[in-house]
Amino acid sequence: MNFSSQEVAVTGCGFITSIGNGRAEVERSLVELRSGIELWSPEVEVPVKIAGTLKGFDTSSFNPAAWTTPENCQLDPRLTRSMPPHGLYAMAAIAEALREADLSPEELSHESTGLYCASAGSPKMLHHHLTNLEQSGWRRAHPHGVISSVAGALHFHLSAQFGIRGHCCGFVSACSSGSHALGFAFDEIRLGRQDRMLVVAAEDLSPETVVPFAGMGALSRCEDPAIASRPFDQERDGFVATGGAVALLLEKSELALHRGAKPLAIIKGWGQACDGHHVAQPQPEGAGIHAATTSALRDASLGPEQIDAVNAHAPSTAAGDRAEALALTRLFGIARPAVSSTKSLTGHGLTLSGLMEAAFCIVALDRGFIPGQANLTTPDEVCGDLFLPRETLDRPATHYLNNSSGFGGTNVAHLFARCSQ
Amino acid sequence: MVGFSPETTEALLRFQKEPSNAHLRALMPGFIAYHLSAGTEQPPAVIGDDAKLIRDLGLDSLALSEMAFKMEDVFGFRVETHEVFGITTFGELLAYLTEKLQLS
Repeated sequence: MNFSSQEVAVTGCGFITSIGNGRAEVERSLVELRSGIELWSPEVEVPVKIAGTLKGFDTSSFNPAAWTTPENCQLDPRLTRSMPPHGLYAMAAIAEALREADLSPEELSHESTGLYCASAGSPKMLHHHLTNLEQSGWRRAHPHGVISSVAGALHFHLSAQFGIRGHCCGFVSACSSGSHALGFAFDEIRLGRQDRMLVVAAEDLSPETVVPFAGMGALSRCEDPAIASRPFDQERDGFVATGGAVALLLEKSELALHRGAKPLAIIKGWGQACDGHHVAQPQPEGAGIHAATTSALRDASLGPEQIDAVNAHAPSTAAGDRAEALALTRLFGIARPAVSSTKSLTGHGLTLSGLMEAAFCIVALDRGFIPGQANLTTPDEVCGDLFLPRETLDRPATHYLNNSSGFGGTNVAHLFARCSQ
Repeated sequence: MVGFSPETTEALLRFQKEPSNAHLRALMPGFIAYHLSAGTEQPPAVIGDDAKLIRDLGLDSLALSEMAFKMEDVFGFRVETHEVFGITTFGELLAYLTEKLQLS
């Protein structure tokens, strides 16, 4: 499809994920349904044995100067000295997004360029600093205790690092944080408030982040990395955690076209709705998800029959998958877009997940494929009317829906469109 | 000393083996350099006593706080942040450390 100069284009993507550091590796993993989940050996012994691990990074030390990175993600250690681990991942993801968009870091420092981030902060660094502070009799507070730990840590660091002078803030809405950041960034451009927005979401993946979910019974107890994350399957028993970072560069299409940048996809619309039901459980019929997706379709002026593919939130939990399956069945009726949840490959990225999965949709739209549903053996009975392809489809989608849900019943849906090739 | 330059680590080892004003003076430029933000010009290997920590050497209040914290770890005495904020020049920093470390 073609697009108008008034639309919002995505012109750069950057990835540090369990299925790849960089777009090329991510794309290959999505096409081949190659999983990033493996046995997990964090720095302390924990009862959680598998995760969507990051490859080539060692951020186990509390001293960022001791962190190591893959060869293609080398950064000046002075840049990350007061950052949490996910700040390091974000820096690497941003570097790739800017390269793809053919934009220099200096060009981000402009009144019309903003930065929206999604992050839950760093429970790892917070735990470390508060433990040390308590052990010192509350007398010896590390000067980086706040800026390396709290929920705003990501945008504090990145705004300073890149000299951001436009709109800037952080989003914390549990597992829909990344999608909220993307939606509001999209609005900033289409409302004419900003010309360009950098959107970043990141998670540490640490024992402090992951293990508390075991206390809620939310994590899979399966110890086989190959099948532990099984969205929509009858045998699923919880999610597998992951971390990393994703950066997307959004631009007013007119601006992107003027400077000769190649749009990877167009954002057509978004919607959100809250369940108002339970602190951690979705509304069982998926009412909020249905409302959010309906709102997104209305915003994009699209009908359900125009949607070819869905990257579902489906985290591989019984309650979450079922609610979403019911919502999608109700939304699409006789239309049968290809539905899959890429969490089967990556694990669940928590505050990162919404933006990471949006970026997967953009890559799939740009390259012309639809990832299949990995690890699906026996679909849950409520999935009877959904088209869940087990293999990747070698055809492009025109319109891709991405869903994201979080604690408190927050639900966000985005619609992306393919650009003409 | 993870993250310090090899030269600074060597200077620290020399100071720990033989604490003296001369070895402290040789150590501190690298110590300061470690705490500077990326993009800040590195200080010279030899710093004059009149050099201002903030204006001339590029430290900021956060870096000064971090440096105070690191001095506690390295030298083994308690440093109050407000004490460091009262130090404005390289010479005053050396004098403060000389007194704390009871160097002759």
